[in-house]
Amino acid sequence: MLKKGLSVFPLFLSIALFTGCSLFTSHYDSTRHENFTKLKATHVQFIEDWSKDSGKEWNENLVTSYCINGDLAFRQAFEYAKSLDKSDKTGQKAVDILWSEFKANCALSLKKKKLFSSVFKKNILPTIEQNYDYAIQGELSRVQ
Amino acid sequence: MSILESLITTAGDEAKAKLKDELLERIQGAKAQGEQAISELGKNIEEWLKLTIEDELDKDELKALLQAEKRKQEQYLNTLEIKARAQLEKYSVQLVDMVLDKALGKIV
Repeated sequence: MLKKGLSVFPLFLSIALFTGCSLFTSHYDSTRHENFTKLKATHVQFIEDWSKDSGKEWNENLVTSYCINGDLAFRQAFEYAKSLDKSDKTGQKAVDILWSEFKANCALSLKKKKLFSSVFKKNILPTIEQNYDYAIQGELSRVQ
Repeated sequence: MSILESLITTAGDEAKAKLKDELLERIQGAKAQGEQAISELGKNIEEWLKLTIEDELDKDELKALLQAEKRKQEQYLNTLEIKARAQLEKYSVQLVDMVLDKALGKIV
Protein backbone atom coordinates (compact mmCIF):
# COMPACT_ATOMS: atom_id res chain seq x y z
CA MET A 1 0.00 0.00 0.00
CA LEU A 2 2.79 2.38 1.05
CA LYS A 3 4.90 1.31 -1.92
CA LYS A 4 1.98 1.95 -4.26
CA GLY A 5 1.53 5.43 -2.75
CA LEU A 6 5.23 6.21 -3.10
CA SER A 7 5.29 5.07 -6.72
CA VAL A 8 2.38 7.36 -7.63
CA PHE A 9 3.69 10.33 -5.65
CA PRO A 10 6.45 11.43 -8.09
CA LEU A 11 3.83 11.52 -10.83
CA PHE A 12 1.59 13.84 -8.78
CA LEU A 13 4.57 16.00 -7.86
CA SER A 14 5.70 16.26 -11.48
CA ILE A 15 2.20 17.23 -12.59
CA ALA A 16 2.01 19.84 -9.84
CA LEU A 17 5.36 21.36 -10.78
CA PHE A 18 4.70 21.36 -14.52
CA THR A 19 1.27 22.92 -14.15
CA GLY A 20 2.56 25.72 -11.95
CA CYS A 21 0.77 24.25 -8.92
CA SER A 22 -2.65 24.82 -10.55
CA LEU A 23 -3.68 21.49 -9.06
CA PHE A 24 -3.66 23.06 -5.62
CA THR A 25 -6.69 24.71 -4.04
CA SER A 26 -7.20 27.73 -1.80
CA HIS A 27 -6.33 27.34 1.86
CA TYR A 28 -8.71 27.06 4.82
CA ASP A 29 -10.61 30.26 5.53
CA SER A 30 -12.50 30.77 8.78
CA THR A 31 -15.01 33.21 7.25
CA ARG A 32 -15.88 30.76 4.46
CA HIS A 33 -16.28 28.07 7.13
CA GLU A 34 -18.51 30.35 9.21
CA ASN A 35 -20.58 31.18 6.13
CA PHE A 36 -21.39 27.49 5.62
CA THR A 37 -22.59 27.11 9.23
CA LYS A 38 -24.71 30.28 9.06
CA LEU A 39 -26.26 29.30 5.72
CA LYS A 40 -27.03 25.84 7.10
CA ALA A 41 -28.91 27.38 10.03
CA THR A 42 -30.82 29.73 7.69
CA HIS A 43 -31.78 26.89 5.35
CA VAL A 44 -32.81 24.39 8.04
CA GLN A 45 -34.88 27.07 9.77
CA PHE A 46 -36.66 27.82 6.49
CA ILE A 47 -37.72 24.16 6.09
CA GLU A 48 -38.73 23.82 9.75
CA ASP A 49 -40.66 27.09 9.87
CA TRP A 50 -42.63 26.43 6.69
CA SER A 51 -43.60 22.81 7.38
CA LYS A 52 -46.63 21.38 9.14
CA ASP A 53 -46.26 21.00 12.93
CA SER A 54 -44.32 24.30 13.03
CA GLY A 55 -47.39 25.97 14.50
CA LYS A 56 -47.34 28.56 11.70
CA GLU A 57 -49.74 29.29 8.89
CA TRP A 58 -48.26 29.61 5.40
CA ASN A 59 -47.87 33.28 4.50
CA GLU A 60 -46.75 34.35 1.03
CA ASN A 61 -45.29 37.68 2.15
CA LEU A 62 -43.26 36.13 4.95
CA VAL A 63 -42.01 33.24 2.80
CA THR A 64 -41.06 35.66 0.02
CA SER A 65 -39.28 37.92 2.49
CA TYR A 66 -37.37 34.96 4.01
CA CYS A 67 -36.36 33.82 0.51
CA ILE A 68 -35.14 37.29 -0.53
CA ASN A 69 -33.07 37.67 2.64
CA GLY A 70 -31.73 34.12 2.31
CA ASP A 71 -30.84 34.74 -1.32
CA LEU A 72 -28.81 37.81 -0.34
CA ALA A 73 -26.91 35.81 2.29
CA PHE A 74 -26.06 33.14 -0.31
CA ARG A 75 -25.01 35.80 -2.83
CA GLN A 76 -22.65 37.38 -0.28
CA ALA A 77 -21.16 33.98 0.61
CA PHE A 78 -20.76 33.13 -3.09
CA GLU A 79 -18.94 36.39 -3.87
CA TYR A 80 -16.71 35.93 -0.83
CA ALA A 81 -15.80 32.36 -1.86
CA LYS A 82 -15.23 33.51 -5.45
CA SER A 83 -12.78 36.17 -4.27
CA LEU A 84 -10.61 33.51 -2.61
CA ASP A 85 -10.88 30.75 -5.22
CA LYS A 86 -8.00 29.49 -7.31
CA SER A 87 -8.65 28.15 -10.81
CA ASP A 88 -10.38 25.01 -9.47
CA LYS A 89 -13.32 27.15 -8.22
CA THR A 90 -14.20 24.56 -5.57
CA GLY A 91 -15.12 27.24 -3.00
CA GLN A 92 -17.71 28.99 -5.11
CA LYS A 93 -19.02 25.65 -6.41
CA ALA A 94 -19.68 24.47 -2.84
CA VAL A 95 -21.77 27.60 -2.14
CA ASP A 96 -23.47 27.46 -5.53
CA ILE A 97 -24.74 23.90 -4.94
CA LEU A 98 -26.22 24.91 -1.57
CA TRP A 99 -27.68 28.09 -3.04
CA SER A 100 -29.42 26.12 -5.82
CA GLU A 101 -31.01 23.90 -3.18
CA PHE A 102 -32.26 26.90 -1.19
CA LYS A 103 -33.72 28.52 -4.32
CA ALA A 104 -35.44 25.24 -5.27
CA ASN A 105 -36.99 24.91 -1.80
CA CYS A 106 -38.22 28.52 -1.92
CA ALA A 107 -39.69 27.96 -5.38
CA LEU A 108 -41.50 24.81 -4.21
CA SER A 109 -43.01 26.56 -1.19
CA LEU A 110 -44.20 29.47 -3.34
CA LYS A 111 -45.59 27.09 -5.97
CA LYS A 112 -47.51 24.94 -3.45
CA LYS A 113 -48.66 27.97 -1.45
CA LYS A 114 -48.94 25.83 1.65
CA LEU A 115 -46.78 24.34 4.36
CA PHE A 116 -44.49 21.42 3.46
CA SER A 117 -45.83 18.09 4.71
CA SER A 118 -44.23 16.51 7.76
CA VAL A 119 -43.18 13.53 5.63
CA PHE A 120 -41.42 15.85 3.17
CA LYS A 121 -39.67 17.72 5.98
CA LYS A 122 -38.55 14.48 7.63
CA ASN A 123 -37.08 13.21 4.36
CA ILE A 124 -35.47 16.34 2.95
CA LEU A 125 -33.79 17.69 6.08
CA PRO A 126 -31.17 14.90 6.42
CA THR A 127 -30.24 15.34 2.74
CA ILE A 128 -29.87 19.12 3.10
CA GLU A 129 -27.90 18.82 6.34
CA GLN A 130 -25.57 16.25 4.82
CA ASN A 131 -25.00 18.56 1.86
CA TYR A 132 -23.80 21.33 4.24
CA ASP A 133 -21.77 18.82 6.24
CA TYR A 134 -19.93 17.77 3.08
CA ALA A 135 -19.21 21.44 2.29
CA ILE A 136 -17.89 21.99 5.83
CA GLN A 137 -15.78 18.81 5.62
CA GLY A 138 -14.32 20.15 2.39
CA GLU A 139 -13.39 23.45 4.05
CA LEU A 140 -11.82 21.69 7.02
CA SER A 141 -9.74 19.45 4.77
CA ARG A 142 -8.06 22.43 3.07
CA VAL A 143 -4.46 23.23 3.99
CA GLN A 144 -4.53 25.23 7.23
CA MET B 1 -39.87 -9.39 -2.98
CA SER B 2 -39.32 -5.93 -1.45
CA ILE B 3 -42.22 -3.69 -0.37
CA LEU B 4 -41.46 -1.34 -3.25
CA GLU B 5 -41.33 -4.20 -5.75
CA SER B 6 -44.74 -5.50 -4.72
CA LEU B 7 -46.19 -1.97 -4.75
CA ILE B 8 -45.06 -1.06 -8.24
CA THR B 9 -45.95 -4.50 -9.58
CA THR B 10 -49.57 -3.77 -8.77
CA ALA B 11 -49.52 -0.03 -9.49
CA GLY B 12 -49.15 0.16 -13.28
CA ASP B 13 -49.82 -1.54 -16.60
CA GLU B 14 -47.65 -3.98 -18.53
CA ALA B 15 -46.36 -1.34 -20.95
CA LYS B 16 -44.31 0.10 -18.11
CA ALA B 17 -42.98 -3.26 -16.95
CA LYS B 18 -39.61 -2.93 -18.67
CA LEU B 19 -38.97 0.51 -17.19
CA LYS B 20 -39.97 -0.72 -13.74
CA ASP B 21 -37.66 -3.73 -14.03
CA GLU B 22 -34.75 -1.51 -15.00
CA LEU B 23 -35.50 0.91 -12.17
CA LEU B 24 -35.70 -1.91 -9.63
CA GLU B 25 -32.45 -3.37 -10.90
CA ARG B 26 -30.68 -0.02 -10.55
CA ILE B 27 -32.06 0.64 -7.06
CA GLN B 28 -31.03 -2.84 -5.89
CA GLY B 29 -27.62 -2.31 -7.50
CA ALA B 30 -27.15 1.03 -5.71
CA LYS B 31 -28.23 -0.45 -2.35
CA ALA B 32 -25.69 -3.24 -2.74
CA GLN B 33 -22.79 -0.83 -3.39
CA GLY B 34 -19.94 -0.80 -0.88
CA GLU B 35 -19.71 3.00 -1.10
CA GLN B 36 -21.95 4.28 1.71
CA ALA B 37 -23.10 7.40 -0.17
CA ILE B 38 -24.39 5.30 -3.08
CA SER B 39 -26.04 2.59 -0.97
CA GLU B 40 -27.83 5.34 1.02
CA LEU B 41 -28.97 6.88 -2.25
CA GLY B 42 -30.55 3.55 -3.29
CA LYS B 43 -32.33 3.18 0.06
CA ASN B 44 -33.58 6.79 -0.02
CA ILE B 45 -34.94 6.53 -3.55
CA GLU B 46 -36.72 3.28 -2.71
CA GLU B 47 -38.31 4.87 0.36
CA TRP B 48 -39.39 8.03 -1.53
CA LEU B 49 -40.95 6.05 -4.38
CA LYS B 50 -42.84 3.95 -1.83
CA LEU B 51 -44.11 7.11 -0.05
CA THR B 52 -45.18 8.63 -3.40
CA ILE B 53 -47.07 5.48 -4.43
CA GLU B 54 -48.77 5.54 -1.02
CA ASP B 55 -49.66 9.27 -1.53
CA GLU B 56 -47.59 10.37 1.45
CA LEU B 57 -45.54 12.55 -0.95
CA ASP B 58 -46.74 14.28 -4.12
CA LYS B 59 -44.78 14.33 -7.39
CA ASP B 60 -43.37 17.83 -6.81
CA GLU B 61 -42.04 16.74 -3.42
CA LEU B 62 -40.55 13.56 -4.90
CA LYS B 63 -38.86 15.64 -7.60
CA ALA B 64 -37.51 18.04 -4.95
CA LEU B 65 -36.14 15.13 -2.90
CA LEU B 66 -34.41 13.60 -5.92
CA GLN B 67 -32.89 16.95 -6.94
CA ALA B 68 -31.74 17.52 -3.35
CA GLU B 69 -30.07 14.11 -3.43
CA LYS B 70 -28.39 14.96 -6.75
CA ARG B 71 -27.04 18.21 -5.31
CA LYS B 72 -25.78 16.36 -2.24
CA GLN B 73 -23.86 13.95 -4.50
CA GLU B 74 -22.39 16.94 -6.42
CA GLN B 75 -21.25 18.40 -3.11
CA TYR B 76 -19.71 15.07 -2.12
CA LEU B 77 -17.67 15.01 -5.36
CA ASN B 78 -16.60 18.66 -4.88
CA THR B 79 -15.42 17.80 -1.36
CA LEU B 80 -13.45 14.81 -2.68
CA GLU B 81 -11.76 17.15 -5.16
CA ILE B 82 -10.83 19.62 -2.40
CA LYS B 83 -9.40 16.81 -0.28
CA ALA B 84 -7.34 15.45 -3.17
CA ARG B 85 -5.93 18.89 -4.05
CA ALA B 86 -5.11 19.71 -0.41
CA GLN B 87 -3.43 16.33 0.03
CA LEU B 88 -1.31 16.92 -3.07
CA GLU B 89 -0.18 20.31 -1.78
CA LYS B 90 0.67 18.91 1.66
CA TYR B 91 2.83 16.16 0.15
CA SER B 92 4.58 18.52 -2.27
CA VAL B 93 5.35 21.18 0.33
CA GLN B 94 6.46 18.60 2.89
CA LEU B 95 8.83 17.00 0.39
CA VAL B 96 10.39 20.31 -0.66
CA ASP B 97 10.74 21.38 3.00
CA MET B 98 12.35 18.06 3.86
CA VAL B 99 14.96 18.47 1.12
CA LEU B 100 15.60 22.11 2.11
CA ASP B 101 15.70 21.63 5.87
CA LYS B 102 17.17 18.18 6.33
CA ALA B 103 18.62 16.57 3.22
CA LEU B 104 20.50 19.54 1.77
CA GLY B 105 24.06 19.51 3.06
CA LYS B 106 23.80 16.00 4.46
CA ILE B 107 22.97 13.84 1.48
CA VAL B 108 23.92 16.26 -1.32
